[in-house]
Parts: sequence; structure tokens; C-alpha cells
Amino acid sequence: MNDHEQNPGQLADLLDTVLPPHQAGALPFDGSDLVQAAERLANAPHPTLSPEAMARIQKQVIQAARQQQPPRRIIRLDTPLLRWAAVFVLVFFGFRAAVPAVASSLPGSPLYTVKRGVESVELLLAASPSTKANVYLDQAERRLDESQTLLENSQFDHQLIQDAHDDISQSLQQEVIDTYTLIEARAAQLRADADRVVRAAIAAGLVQPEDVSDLLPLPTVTPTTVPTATLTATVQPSATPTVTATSTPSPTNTSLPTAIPTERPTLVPTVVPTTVPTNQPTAIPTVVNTPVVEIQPIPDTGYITGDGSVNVRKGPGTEFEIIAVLPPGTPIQIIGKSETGDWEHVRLANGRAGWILASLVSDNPTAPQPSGGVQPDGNCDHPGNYCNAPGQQKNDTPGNNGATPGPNKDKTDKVDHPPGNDTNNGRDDPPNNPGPPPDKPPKDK
Amino acid sequence: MLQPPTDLARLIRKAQSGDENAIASLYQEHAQQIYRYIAYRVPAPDAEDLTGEVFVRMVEGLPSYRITEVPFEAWLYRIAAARVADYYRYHKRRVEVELDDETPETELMPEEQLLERQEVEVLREAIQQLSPEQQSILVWRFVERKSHEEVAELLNRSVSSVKTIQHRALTQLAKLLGTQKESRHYLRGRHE
Repeated sequence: MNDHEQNPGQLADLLDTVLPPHQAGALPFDGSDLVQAAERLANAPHPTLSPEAMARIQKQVIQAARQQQPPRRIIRLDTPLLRWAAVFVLVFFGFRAAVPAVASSLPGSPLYTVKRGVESVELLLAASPSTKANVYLDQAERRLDESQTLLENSQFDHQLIQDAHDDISQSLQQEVIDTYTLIEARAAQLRADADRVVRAAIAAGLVQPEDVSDLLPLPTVTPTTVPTATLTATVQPSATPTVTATSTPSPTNTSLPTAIPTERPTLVPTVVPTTVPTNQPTAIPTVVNTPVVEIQPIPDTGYITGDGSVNVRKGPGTEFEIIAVLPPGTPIQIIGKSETGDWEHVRLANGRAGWILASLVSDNPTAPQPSGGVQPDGNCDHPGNYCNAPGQQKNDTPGNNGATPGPNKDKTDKVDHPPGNDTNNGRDDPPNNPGPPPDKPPKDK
Repeated sequence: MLQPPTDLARLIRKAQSGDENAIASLYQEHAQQIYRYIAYRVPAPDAEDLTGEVFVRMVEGLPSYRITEVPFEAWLYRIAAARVADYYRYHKRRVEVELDDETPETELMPEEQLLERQEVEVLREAIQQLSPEQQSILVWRFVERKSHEEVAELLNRSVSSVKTIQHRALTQLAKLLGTQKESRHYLRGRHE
């Protein structure tokens, strides 16, 4: 055996001579199996991709690139110093109060980076899921405000709307228990605002419809859908509304119980949604209609009433920030109501949404508004919601499968299995007819 | 490398921002070498599919790819090596040498083309029996004709360890080719 066949270094030197890198071909060399093996590999007709295969793979690659989501524009405060500075500003001054120039900055301006950075700290500081959800919604609202301002300057930023939608989605993913309905209502409103901006941009010719198809809602949530229940009944001073939800399940019928809140109030002064199960319900309450009821409130017009000016707040409660002050007689568009019925969700003349104490809103420019009673919200079927109205029992007996033939039959079969059929028993052991999600605890006001 | 590094870096940045032409250029410049790397390690039809997968992964990974001193092709080769490893993990099959007197499909082929195909298949079958690292070194050194230093960079190893692995790989390859020499005309890859 030659020396180079035993010494890797010598073999490497010899190969560099016989098969120099970056050159085609090889010098003739005889007498070494190792070099010959290398030469044979070097001189082989190497496999190549055919032009057809090249084109086919390229198509596949470009398709993958198109499906790739564009990287989301995330602006972060990367240095600890900036982060702490932003924390300081937020803790001591609040978002809008301390940095009005920043708050009103628009995409493209240097302050806008600071604005988005401050927002990321705002999220960090949000302690509870509920606060965090509201912070997300605040940020979505800011994106929409920015979009609106841009729109007024004949500009449109696709990413801003996308960010607003992302923030809204994030808000709904927070594990909010006590104020989920409010979060959902506000989210629905912001989505509608986003749609309005996009449609306005299309109408103004700033963007082509096909370019924003990802931003517009599916037909199933079109805002023209008429809800089957009203949330604005207390602003009608002539009558106090009653929403009657009657559950009449039949023991022999597996269809869903009918819960039909009447659209217009009757003359009955009490506001007690009643659910009267006539038997042990045999079916699961439907959740199909609920989102429609909840996110599609009927817009209505109201007027500020009372002796003095009225605060419009960011949320349904005095703890929320005041965003406007309106004199008596100011017309407002009512777009919803808080779950307790104490607060009206309104849209102001400038397009902004806010909340006003219900007793300060009248549907008549002069008449005082009687103080609001309990407002049924018609949302009790929703698995993420619950109803705090007295007498509400709809969710008390869900998931009773006594009349559901399928699972019971299985169960019977399982009992009849001969002992020792462990495999089958084991497979059937988990409950295969889960009821609806457990009720959430009663809401604290 | 087909382009000076600065041009390549510019191309990569454009591809990272979603520029389809840049992505297509990156693909076209590296497709054949990645295919050769794979085709000496897995049978031809599968090699095409795996090459496609490598470049789809490239597209997916581009946003997080950072341009460093390490050549871009090293990243692609790493993706390719992972795809080949996955291929064998899931298929768990090795191309076996089989004696087959009836070769209807090959009868139609011109003799020379048949011999060429057989030569590549013989080499692939031998190479497949080496370790993944040995396989990579042989393809880079003698198919791609890269220097020991370039291979060391691709493999993130020292030059001397590359020479040692190369020595071992060639010793084994020579042995495998020697034993297969007599029965070469029987060798055929079995594709499923």
C-alpha cells in the first residue's frame, strides 16, 4: 500500500494535484485505488435536473413564497433604557395625557415608532386578561383612527387595518371571564369601523377591492343582517321592554329548544326574561343565533338629556377615561348597550364610539329619560356568556342526553360486552357526548 | 459561487422581502448543486421531490435567515442534509442490489445512456453505504470540486478532520466499488 493510502494529509495533497479544486477533469493517475475511486466519482456523468423539473420546482417554490405571510411589522423597544423610560411615562402620565404629539403621530413619522413602542409597554403593563383585552382594543382603535386620518389625506395603509384586525383577534383570545360580552361588543364595533374605512378607501379609489379582500368580512357577518332581538329597548320611553325567551323542548324531539326573544317590547313593566322548561330538556341550547344578536345591535338615535353636560367615556363605567363632553340635546347614535343596561354604547357625530350612562340618554330631545332598569341582553345561549337576569334558567340543564339515541345505544352496547373486552371498553370509556362548556360564574358588576 | 458575495447578499435581502424574482434567482443559482448533492444520496425521482422541498423550506426560512460569514449555500446544504436524513428516517429503505434478468424498460434505452445511468447508480449505491458526513465530503470534494478549506467551512470542521474523513471515505468507497465491479451490469436501483 502506498504512503498516501495510509496518510490522510498525503492523500489530500495528491488529490489536489490529480483533481484540482474548481477545475473539470482529472490528471491521469494510476496505482492508487483511493485516487481512482475519487476520479471515478469526479468523472461520472453527474445527475442534473431536467428543464421541465427545474420549471416545475420553481413554480412550487414561487407558490410557497406567495403563501408566505408577509412579516408583520412589529416595532419593539429593544433597549432596556427606552423600555423603562416608556414604562415611566405610562405609569405617571398615561398614554394620551403625557405624549399627545406621540399619540397623534401617523405611520411614517419618527414619533410613530415611539408610539408603537409605548404600546408594546402598555400591553406589558396590563395585569389582567380583561385589561389586556381592552388595551388591544384601544390599540386597534388607534390604528383605525390613524387609518381614518390617512383616509382624509387620501391615503390608505393596508397594514394598519391588518394590525387593527390582529389586535381585535388578540383581544378576543384573552381569557376574560367577567366582561367578555363587553369585549366582544367593542371588538365587533371596531371590526365594523375597520370595514367602513376599507370600503371608504375603495370608494375613494385609494385601493382596489381585490387588494383588500383579506380585510373585508365574509358574507356571513355582513352588517346588513337584521338581528332578531333589540338591545336598545330602554331608550324607548313609551314602553319598558320585555324579552321573553321561552324554552319548550320536547322529550321526544332532539331538535334544539327555541329561544325567541321578541323584537319589540310589550307593555309589561317588568324586565324579566323568562325561561320555562316544561320538562327536563333533552337537547342542547343552540349557540347559533347568539353572535348575531350580540354583534349586530340596531343603531338608533338618542339625545343627551339632563341639566348639564354629559361625559362620554371609553368604557361602560366611571372608571373609564372621558373621551368627550356633550351638552344636553346633542344627538347621538346608539349602537349598543352594556350588559347590565346601565350604559349606552354610542357613536358621536365625529364617528368616534363611546359609552354614556343610560339614564342620561333619551330618544327625545327634551323629555327626560327614566332611569334604566335591568336590560335583557339575549345572550344567554352563548357559551362564552351568561345571563345575570333573575329567573334565567336556560343553561341549568344543558347536555341532558336522555333522548339522544346515538350515545345511549353505544353505552348499552358497552354494558352488554362480555367481560374481558377491555380494548373496546377502554376506547368507549371517555364520555362521547360532552355537553356544552360549563357555565361561567355569575358576573360581578 | 456564481455571484460575488455582495450581489448574493443583495439578492438574499430582496428575497427576504418577498421579491419573487429574487427568490427565483436564488433557486436557479443553487438548484443543480443541491440536486446533485441529493441525487448521489437518494434515488433520482425522490431526489427531485426533495430538491423542491429544500427550496420551499428556503422560502419559509428566509425571513429569519441572517447573512453571516458562513456561505449561503452552507445553509441550503444543511436544509438538504436534513431532508435526506428525514427521507431515510421515514422511508427506511435502502436501494438494494438485485439480480434481475428481465430489464424491459432499459432495453429501449441507448446503450451509452444506460451505461451512464448505471455508473451514477453504482456510485450512488456505494456512497449511500457511507456515513452522512462522508457522503457530503465526497460529493463536495469530487462532484462539486470544492477545496478542503471550503468543505471544512461547509461542514464547520477543521481542514485536517476533513482530510481524515475524506481518507476514510475514499478507502471505503474504493472497497465498495472494487467488490461491485464484477457484477456491475446487474446493478439497478429499485424505485418504488
